[in-house]
Amino acid sequence: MKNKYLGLITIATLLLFSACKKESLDLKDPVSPTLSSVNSESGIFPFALGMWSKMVSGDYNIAANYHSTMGDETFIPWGNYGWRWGNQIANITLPDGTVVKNPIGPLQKDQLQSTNSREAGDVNAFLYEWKSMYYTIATSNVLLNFAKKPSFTFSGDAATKQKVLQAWAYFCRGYAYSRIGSMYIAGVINNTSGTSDFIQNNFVSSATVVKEGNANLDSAIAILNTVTNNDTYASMLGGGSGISIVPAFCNTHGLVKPDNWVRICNTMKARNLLVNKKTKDMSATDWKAVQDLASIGLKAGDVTFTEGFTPDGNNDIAGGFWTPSIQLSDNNGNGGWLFVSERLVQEFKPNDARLARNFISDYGIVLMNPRNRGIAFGTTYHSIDAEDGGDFTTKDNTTNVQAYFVPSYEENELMLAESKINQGNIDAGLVHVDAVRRAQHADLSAVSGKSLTLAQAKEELRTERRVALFLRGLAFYDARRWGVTAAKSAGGGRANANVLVPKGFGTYTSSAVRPCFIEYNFMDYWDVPLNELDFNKPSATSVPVKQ
Amino acid sequence: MIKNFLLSILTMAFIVNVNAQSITIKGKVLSEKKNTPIDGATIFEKNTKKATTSGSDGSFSIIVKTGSKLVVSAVGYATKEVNAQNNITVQLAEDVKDLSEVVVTGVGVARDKRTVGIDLATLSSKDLPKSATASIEQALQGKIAGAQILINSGQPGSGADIVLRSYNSLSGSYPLILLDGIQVYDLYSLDLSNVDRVEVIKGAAGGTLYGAQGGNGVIQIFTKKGSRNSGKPTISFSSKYTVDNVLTGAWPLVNQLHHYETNAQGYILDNNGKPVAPDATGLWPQPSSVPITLTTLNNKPFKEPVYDHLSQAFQQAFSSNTSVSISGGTEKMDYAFAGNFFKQQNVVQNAFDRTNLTLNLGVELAKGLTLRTSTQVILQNDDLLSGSRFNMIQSENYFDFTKKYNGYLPITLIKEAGMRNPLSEFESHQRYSKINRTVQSANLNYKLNHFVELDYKYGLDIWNTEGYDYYKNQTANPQYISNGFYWGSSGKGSIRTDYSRSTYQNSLASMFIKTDFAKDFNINLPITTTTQVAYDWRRDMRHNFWVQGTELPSFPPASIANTNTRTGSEGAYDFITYGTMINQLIDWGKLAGAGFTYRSDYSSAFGQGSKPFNFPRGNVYLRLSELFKSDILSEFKVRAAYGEAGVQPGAYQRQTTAASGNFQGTGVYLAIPSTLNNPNLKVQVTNELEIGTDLIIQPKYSSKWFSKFNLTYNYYKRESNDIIDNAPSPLSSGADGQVNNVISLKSNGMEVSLDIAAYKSKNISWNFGYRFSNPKTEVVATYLGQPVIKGAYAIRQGTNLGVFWGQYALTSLTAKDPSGAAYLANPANFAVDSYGNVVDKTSGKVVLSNSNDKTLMGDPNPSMIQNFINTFTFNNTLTFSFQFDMFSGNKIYNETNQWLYRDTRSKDFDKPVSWSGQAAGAYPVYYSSLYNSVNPVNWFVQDGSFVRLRDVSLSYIITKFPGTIFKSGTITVSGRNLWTKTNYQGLDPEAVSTGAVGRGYDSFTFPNLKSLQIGFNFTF
Repeated sequence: MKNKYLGLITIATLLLFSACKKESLDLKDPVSPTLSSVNSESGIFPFALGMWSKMVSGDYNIAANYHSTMGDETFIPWGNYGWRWGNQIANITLPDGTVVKNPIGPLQKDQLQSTNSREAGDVNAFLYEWKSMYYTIATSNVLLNFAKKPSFTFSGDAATKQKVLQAWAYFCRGYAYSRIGSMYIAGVINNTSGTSDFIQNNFVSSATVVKEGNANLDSAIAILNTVTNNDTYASMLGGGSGISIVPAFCNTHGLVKPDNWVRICNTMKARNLLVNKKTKDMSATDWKAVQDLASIGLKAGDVTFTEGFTPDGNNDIAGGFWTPSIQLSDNNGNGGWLFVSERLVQEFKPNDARLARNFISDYGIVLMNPRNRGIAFGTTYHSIDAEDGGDFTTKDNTTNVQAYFVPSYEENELMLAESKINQGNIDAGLVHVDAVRRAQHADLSAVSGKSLTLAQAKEELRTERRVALFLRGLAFYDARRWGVTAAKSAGGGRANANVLVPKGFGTYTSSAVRPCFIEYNFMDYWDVPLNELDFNKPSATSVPVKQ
Repeated sequence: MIKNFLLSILTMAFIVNVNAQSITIKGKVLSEKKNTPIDGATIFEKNTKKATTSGSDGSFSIIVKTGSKLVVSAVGYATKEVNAQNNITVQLAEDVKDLSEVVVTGVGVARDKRTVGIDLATLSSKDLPKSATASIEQALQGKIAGAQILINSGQPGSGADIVLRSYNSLSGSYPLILLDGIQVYDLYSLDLSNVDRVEVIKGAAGGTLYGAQGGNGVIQIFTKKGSRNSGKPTISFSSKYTVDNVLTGAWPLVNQLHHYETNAQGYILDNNGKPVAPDATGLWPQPSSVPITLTTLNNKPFKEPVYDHLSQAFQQAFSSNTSVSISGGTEKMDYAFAGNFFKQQNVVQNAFDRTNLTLNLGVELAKGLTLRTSTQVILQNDDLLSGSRFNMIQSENYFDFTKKYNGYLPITLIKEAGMRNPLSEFESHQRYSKINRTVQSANLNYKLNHFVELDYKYGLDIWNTEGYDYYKNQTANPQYISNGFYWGSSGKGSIRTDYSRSTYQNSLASMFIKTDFAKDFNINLPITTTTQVAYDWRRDMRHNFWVQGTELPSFPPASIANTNTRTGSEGAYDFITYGTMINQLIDWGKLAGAGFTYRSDYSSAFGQGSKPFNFPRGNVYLRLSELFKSDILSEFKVRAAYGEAGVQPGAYQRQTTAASGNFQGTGVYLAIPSTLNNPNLKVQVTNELEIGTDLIIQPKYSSKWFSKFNLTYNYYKRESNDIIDNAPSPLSSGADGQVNNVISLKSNGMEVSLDIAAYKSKNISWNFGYRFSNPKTEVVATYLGQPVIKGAYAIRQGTNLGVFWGQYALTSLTAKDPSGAAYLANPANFAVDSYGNVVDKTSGKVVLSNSNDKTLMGDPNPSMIQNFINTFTFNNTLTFSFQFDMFSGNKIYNETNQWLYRDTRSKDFDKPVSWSGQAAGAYPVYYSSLYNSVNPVNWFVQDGSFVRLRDVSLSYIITKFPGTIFKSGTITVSGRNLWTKTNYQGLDPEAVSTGAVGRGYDSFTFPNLKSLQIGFNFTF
């Protein structure tokens, strides 16, 4: 009897012991793929597609809103992601001479520098563009590593596949370096990142980083010049039924063909030149160079890479949340963060059809000096959503509103206009202004052939850039190069800027939009975020990483 | 007497039964003073293995040899030996806290607690507070020195944050939970009414037995068992009814006065110059935005009708808890069945219910071979909608959140990012979650002979949950039509269902070998040894998936099948660990002993998974009371223990995986993950040295007062190394870091448990319990010495874990910034105000330090936790008990108040402040300036110390029910959290964030409940 039970227990125990071999410990995550999957055709395309999750991520859109608000085409009075501090102007001089300082105190530079730390968490303004662009660079590096391998085998039209993937990697890397160089006083050139421990600590100047951006764009151009728009190409760019490296809800304006893509690169290079030099310092050679690049840039009928979102709001690249097209919507169920600036609305000519189509002042005051955060935060306008005929915003994510993050035809036209006007070819330049207005259905009469003076032409150009390139990531670059965001003592600021002045300020006993002088006094280029520097000490040969 | 009993147990195994005539003895075990039945007393026939236990009416039945003796013992009572005779009544004297109880957890072998070298806290069901109804966690609060059980929400079904001693890692502190010897997921949802006793090991010194799982300590729950030979089954029934209200604190949160622009009649104006009034959908305009200047005063009474939003936000709720149990047994088997049904209304919306069914069966299959199986089935449902009520608190006093417009409650009352009327949620949102959990354990035990015992346990914890979340198509809602407002992710509605299944298996095979040198080897030394060899295997498998459909048609039925777009995903988790353990105990009589344990664990989560991690332990005890045999100092033990134990990494943190996602309409994408995994990850290891003493003093100066003191004291010193965290990398590398073993923590502290028989007379007794601990953890090392950033919280090397850092309001006109430069270029323009802050005389704003000049603002960890437990018994029938829990020295960051400052809505805005040249006034510009930063500011740090009347209860026992089927009954009236004394100015000093990181923030989480309860208990 005893032995029987003992035997049973011993057998049961032995069975258990033998069931537990070490091999049983090798449990693999059944959900997440491994990075080695990229080393095959079936993995490399999804990885190339994944570029969008880095390049136009939530982080990218947070940074895009900084550009937009610092360029004073929109404003954000809320402190989330530090936005409020980015568009914290220095002071406003009311028509009665009263100077209204920003109610917080410090200038934008001091404020932003004081939150440049890891501890500041998500209010560190410097973090977002840096992060999204360096993640894009790392993704490009990994993609190039695989796509350039001679041993990598593709099925079917292998040449096209390999070229398009390489062009995509160079293009994205070029775009990312261009943005880093156009926004930060220093950056690193790291074409080997993508592994956790690969660090470059030689910080180089903005100009060097932009140059690296141009070099990558050139590499993309060189490859694209050898690519033909066949079925494989069309499928990869989202224009077919096969594998695609473009999300279906992006690029809905049409297929970016190889020559069209080359022209995007050229426009980007023109932009790199234009936005990184103060306009007053541009020489005739500079303007010629911009014109030369723009003349081989985007042309009428071209499309570009754009960011879209899905109707359910769940599946967007940026989480369906940060995109200005949603946040600026007046009828936003989430409660919008973004408001249209009075200074943008005042740029529209009264009979510009784009104004009536997009912005309306039917509520009276939409927002005014909220929580006493400053009178720059106020507007009497709100957006008309695409559902009601507008161009920019949507309340239900249901329409084909696309956000621009790379250059567009209109930008190229206006670079042609600006370079020509500044070289004295006023009327030739204004032809491009008219072309943009026609393309955007502004229903305005032509300004070319009207013998405008240089100053008038420049004003047409200025207002047109503000209006036509709304939400295309250029507002801050323009304000910087035109000197608007410089300190008043350095000739900066903006006169006749419409501000919703609440009663009680100055001598005013009623609230109204009044022409004021705004001193912005913003940083030109941003410091390198300490999220980088805490773990990457600049080498001895590095340029300064903060101002 | 106790010694005799233990000796008898030990020698029992070696005495050969002699034939003698058997008789059946029936009897009853009663408490000596109270004359009430003792449930679960053990009745041994002396010098044999024959034993039974008493039923809940105290009765027992046992067949013994004529003329034999019975040894009767029960936890909490002094053991007694009596002659065996039928219809005997055995009365046991109460013991304040009986050290002779037998313990298991962390010891391996069931063992007299006096001969254990580690600290092992125990609690029996009678010690559990009467007012605890919802959970075991609730019942354990304040009962065990060194166990912080924090319930920070009154939401039904809320779990608890459990910290034993202090933090060992940043990822969590939840201890290992054992149910009748096998590991289960957690305490959550287990049946409180079925708990017989609880054993707690607070640290690694004891937890080594559990190897790479034991680092956070161990809590073991033993469920109630039936009694052998009990004759008729014992049936008992209990029912409790509770009224819950949220704790609202003694301080109002919001202003009673305002500073807005008003018209001649005193009504608040909007930006268009009209008195504020809602539109046809209930949407209000912003009040006028005239500037707040230095002279603006927050001194205007509201002319508008105002509403108490706190009382609009929360309602009174009711709950009921009903249990039935049937237990008994025959000569060869025992059974206990328990059923419990608990239903709790939420103080916000909807309700929660839980059913627990438990069956515990023990069968003696053959001589020495027993099988025990225990099954607990848990069915839990809730349809709670517990959205934060903060939007109501921060809103203007004149908003009425309960007023309907066109038959709808407004979705939002003011157009501002994120603002909602939480009361309207139920009109558009339905959800439920259902949990089906089954916890099964089986134990086969074979006592081969007096040397060898074999034991095998297998446990299974199966947890299925189903979640349903439905937002209606709201396109007909007036506020959707006019303003596009809606609940959920789309105005056209959505439905999401979540399913998950988790299975935890635990298999534990042990062999025990016991020797007694004198008896077994004829060596004349009082040495006994116990050797345990065990093999332990565990597997945790989880799988979950969800589907969501968005954009519903406006026609019924609402189903995912009818939605416009559908998405879904899944998650999975699989973890295996196994290890072998050898545990050697050697005792020198009752005087001294030592134990050594060595455990070796393999785990699928370890990097290089095939390599084991090893955990040693050693402990010794010396019972000095054996040497001097004092009547007054009846027990005096010193003990010391050292042990190492681990905390496992996440299941797949060693695997290099890619991030993946799906772009709708295109397909899957891959990406570099933002935080990389690490194939070389090691287990986090905690080592702990514990030194302690247990002593019993029985002063003889009075027969009534202070007859017995029972003291346990522990000092511990702990170090945790290789703590897993993200080791950050520069963003230009393409990721923000890699998980690695990078952080070290250390802590030390002490714990005191004191139980006193304070007074004892024929009719009155008073027992007093005291618990003390002082938990604290220091951050010894961080990655590269850099602060560890977790969201808005920073952990700095060399400081206590969890301390608050923030900007501070200057208090001196000569204050300097970190560079040594004076903050105030022209101090004449500034003054120190009546609060002691530096204020700018021209603007009326407080001057804060720079955002890169932060100070240590406070520590959310209490410097002392004390609990005071009193029990009074009158005439053996009436029991009055109460428990105070006291936290001292802990700080709370009152983020709720900071947010109210932002909204110019804090009660503080009504308070006058003054400074040189400025008359006293309630200046909104002054208070607002204290918010003007996204960083925390020291102004909002408050003392979170409190004393809380955790439990108070009055029970009346009825023993005589002439002519009825009832044997006994109890009526209890009790209350929980009825009274709190604190200077903290929020709703509830316990309703703050928990966890190792970001602890102690009051972010208007759901407050705890104040409950009143009446309960009945009858035994048939």
